[in-house]
Amino acid sequence: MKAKAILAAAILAAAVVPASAQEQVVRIATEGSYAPWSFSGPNGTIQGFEIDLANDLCARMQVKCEIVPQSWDGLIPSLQAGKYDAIMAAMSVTPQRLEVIAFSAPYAAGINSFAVVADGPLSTLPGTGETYSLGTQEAQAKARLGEIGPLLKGKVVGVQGSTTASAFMETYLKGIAEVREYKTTEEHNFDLMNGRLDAVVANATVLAAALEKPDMQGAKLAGPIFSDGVFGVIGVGLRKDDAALKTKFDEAIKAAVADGTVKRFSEKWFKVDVSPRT
Amino acid sequence: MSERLETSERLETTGRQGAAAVELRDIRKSYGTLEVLHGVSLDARDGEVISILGSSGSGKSTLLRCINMLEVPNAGTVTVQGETIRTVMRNGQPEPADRGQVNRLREKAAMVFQSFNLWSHLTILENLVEAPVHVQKRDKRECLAEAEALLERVGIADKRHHYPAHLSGGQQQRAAIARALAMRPSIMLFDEPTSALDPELVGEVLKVIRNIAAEGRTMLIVTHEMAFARDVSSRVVFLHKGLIEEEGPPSELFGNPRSERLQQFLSRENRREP
Amino acid sequence: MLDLTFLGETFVTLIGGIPLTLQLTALSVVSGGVLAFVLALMRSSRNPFLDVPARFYIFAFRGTPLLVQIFIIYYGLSQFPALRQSVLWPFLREAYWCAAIALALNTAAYSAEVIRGGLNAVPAGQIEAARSFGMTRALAFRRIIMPLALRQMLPAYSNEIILMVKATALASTITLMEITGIAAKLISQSYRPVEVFVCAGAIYLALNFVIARIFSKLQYALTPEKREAPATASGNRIEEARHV
Repeated sequence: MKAKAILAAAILAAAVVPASAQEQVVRIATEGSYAPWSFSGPNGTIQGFEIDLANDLCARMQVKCEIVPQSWDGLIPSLQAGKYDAIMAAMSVTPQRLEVIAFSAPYAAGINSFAVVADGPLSTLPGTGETYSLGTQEAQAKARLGEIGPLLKGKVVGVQGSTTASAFMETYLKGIAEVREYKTTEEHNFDLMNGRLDAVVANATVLAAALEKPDMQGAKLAGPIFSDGVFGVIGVGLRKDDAALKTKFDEAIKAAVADGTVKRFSEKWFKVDVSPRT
Repeated sequence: MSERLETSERLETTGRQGAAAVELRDIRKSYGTLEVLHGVSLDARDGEVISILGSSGSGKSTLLRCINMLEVPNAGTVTVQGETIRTVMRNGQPEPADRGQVNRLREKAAMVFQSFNLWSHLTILENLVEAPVHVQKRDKRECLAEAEALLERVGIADKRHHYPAHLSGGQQQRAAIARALAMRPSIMLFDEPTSALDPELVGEVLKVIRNIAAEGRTMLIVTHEMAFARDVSSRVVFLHKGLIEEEGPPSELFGNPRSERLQQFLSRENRREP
Repeated sequence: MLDLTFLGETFVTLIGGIPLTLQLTALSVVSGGVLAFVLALMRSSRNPFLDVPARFYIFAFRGTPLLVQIFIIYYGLSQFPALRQSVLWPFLREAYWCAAIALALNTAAYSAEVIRGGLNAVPAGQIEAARSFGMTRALAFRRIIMPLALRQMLPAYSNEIILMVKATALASTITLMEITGIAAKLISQSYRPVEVFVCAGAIYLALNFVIARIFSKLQYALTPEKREAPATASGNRIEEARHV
């Protein structure tokens, strides 16, 4: 009898102890189909730059992380609905988004580019290999875009819907090319390869990774790489009223940038350093 | 061609005492392994009114339906106005060899069903002119006039723009008889025309049939109405278990039934009648 | 809390998607209807070479999600270089035609069963009467069976059309800007999914209400026999029956 009572008490204690430790669980939503930022690996587990970074940040914040893939369209509504606590999905900080959610300190800079098929009509866009900041070099960037514009006339350009890429087309090349919006970059890449699209605009790191795959053989980056401005910087999306979590993320990110962790992950996944240059 | 010759020969030979309107020779009909007609032969001469009696399951309706090929006999021949319907076996099932021939036959031998079978999406008048206009390709105006007259005759002229569902059973059956008459058939086939009716509606339908019989049209009637059969028929046929048990003038069959089975049948039917 | 200005603007923007939604519906219902009719006849055939392929078609298209069918037609077919070089490519290149084709093929499978159900529901006695008056199979089909089947299947078929109106929403997944496509874009700009979807839902509801009304009127017009009997016509003249 005694032994049983002790056993029961032990089980009860075991069940209660972890909860009483009050380890906070932070649910982080990511896109899961945006290689190499976050994507499903060969065995179905989710991996990528943001996954590595999220795990690192959570360790710094001493919280338990749950990383869940969620379609791009649903990211912000789900965050607001309390389904997740944070978004790490290569989401640029834009004034529009800042109206509805808060962002942590940036953990990456947004760099975008065109991709085209090598034997297509747009294979030689001017400015290939150059990089322009739409923040500090907007005049030069506009000059280049002035050359690119006429070439895009009557062409079809794919972007992922409601991304900075679509904002870029809207701001700098409005009414020139027909812009089609896709749910994922994979879908617009597919239509680039089968000839439905003449070009796509997307994050350069994502395009570079996709172009390495055999099914995108024959496609290449074209024209300059654009950063800042509409592409802004990338931070963790948070609820506005969740100031405590924002403080934790800010500190963790600043530390990860400062000690070179972000740079290390970036070079591992992108071959280039996308860490914010502030 | 040879068939045509045969036909005209037959017409000549039978012409004197009234040509044979319908000749059934050794009709056999089975469903699967169950044979319901075991070789029935029956002739109906022009103008004859033949009542076919028998208890349920005797094969009397099946026999009637063989005449216009709604049932195709497994063996035996059906000859209507000298023209023999050719049948073939296909996948073990008997089928008419020439559907065109069957459709021509059906224009001549119009059928009245137990459950009326008026087309429910057409008005009574439309029901009457449907086949004359679309099958016989007759002038629609003429068909309409004739249909009006027929409805007048069966006493439901005021229902011509009604749909079948708006009519009583007796009215529907009278419309169905008018629909059959609109084909100007030389032979009328009645398949238990009053069996689906409430007792109080039977009289009006029998009156109409009696009226048509008086015109001298060839009629074959499957019925349970003994008094009516006795009254209207020139000949009565009693079917039992797929064979003709007894046939003759109504006075003989009803007055002096020879077979025990007919006697039993008549006493049963008489008890049933009010 | 309720932002009427935003709701109003959203509503006006979404109305711009109605023409595309209705076009996709009409295109797929008409062409799918023709295919469905052929499939229903094949299914009713006793010839296994007609029946079995139709059975398989219906099984395949009813057994897989429409979204998968749209993706296979839009992304799957474009994988074949031979197809991209064929005369079909100018059509299949366009998301519009891919969506219309997928919707048509899908509704054909469902409608075929609706039509077959309508044909099976025609009472045997009605057909027998037609045959007994010397009608050929084709004539009986045209004059008796089809009109009766049409009346039988109308309620189920109107259901199918309403389902199709809603199914066009999936066309937004292949870049088409019909009602749902526009709604998704508005949400991504405003991050106000509730208001936008409520507006979109209201528009679909209105469209389907109109369609349901049209069909119930049609049903009413086609089934005078189910209404009360007309006043007994005594003095009508023959000429009045000319619509026969």
